[in-house]
Amino acid sequence: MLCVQLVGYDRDCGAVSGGLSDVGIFDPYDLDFTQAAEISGVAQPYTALAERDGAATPSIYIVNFQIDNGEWTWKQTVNGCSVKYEFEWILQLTENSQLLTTFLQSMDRGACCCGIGIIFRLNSGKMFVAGERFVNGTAITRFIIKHDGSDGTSGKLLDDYNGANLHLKGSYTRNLYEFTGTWDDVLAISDQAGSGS
Amino acid sequence: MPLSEIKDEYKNKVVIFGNNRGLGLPLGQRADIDLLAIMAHESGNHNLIKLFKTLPPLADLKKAKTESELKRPAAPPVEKKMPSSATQPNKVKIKANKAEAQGESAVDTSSTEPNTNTTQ
Repeated sequence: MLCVQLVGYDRDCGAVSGGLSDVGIFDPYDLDFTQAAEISGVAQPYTALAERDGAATPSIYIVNFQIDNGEWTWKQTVNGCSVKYEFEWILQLTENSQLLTTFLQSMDRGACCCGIGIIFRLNSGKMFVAGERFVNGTAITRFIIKHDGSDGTSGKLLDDYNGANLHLKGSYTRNLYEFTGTWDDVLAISDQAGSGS
Repeated sequence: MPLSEIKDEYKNKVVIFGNNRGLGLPLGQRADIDLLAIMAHESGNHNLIKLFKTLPPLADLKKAKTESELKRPAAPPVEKKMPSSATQPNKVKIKANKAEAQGESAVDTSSTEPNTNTTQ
């Protein structure tokens, strides 16, 4: 440690599965995440989230994508000492409809105004947050997630796909922090509160 | 009984932390607000700190948390299951010992593999 403080990567041995299980979106200005101070220079996960004063209720909207067709990808690049993490979420949203059009319009508004916050759970059970704006009551540096590059099709045949591939993209100075709460509790402040979905 | 106390005006506020089993209970109905009090201390989040009418020192909260965890009834003992690959040699050994005692050849009859020792 004469030059740089490193940490190890030593997870408990065990199987892990891929894929997204659940996705919620939020106005980054509505939620405040709580994060304990660093321990020996190591960042801690988010442990609590609260709606900010005046936030709209519900503050989280669930995106029901086609099962087995949700993916989060990221890529790190460096130029000198300048680090960039690029993120992308691709979610298959079934059926072209008024519902889909208005959803996409809201994504476009979010991308243009203040970005889109994403809280999502992997099939492994881990939950992550992206696009957040407030941590410990303070605005962090801008982490903008945009609706960018979605496409869709009606298909040609009866058994062709009819719907959209939603693309959300963003970049930041680090990879995503985990949220240690439960998805059930996230649902409790979402537009699907009480639905048990 | 929690050591910390939420201000009356925030008792209906919902904060997501710990495991509330999706009930979405407001702070006034949660029995685990000491956990949130610990988070408030460790994060210095003024939006959390302002929720508390009584916010005991972190050391007291942690001590109470440890004591309550020690008082929690112990989970029933879990029988450790060895992987089948690890248990198989023992099984064969036991059978071998049994067979030796009976003066027979040690053949695992539970095996589905053809018995190459048998003369036709």
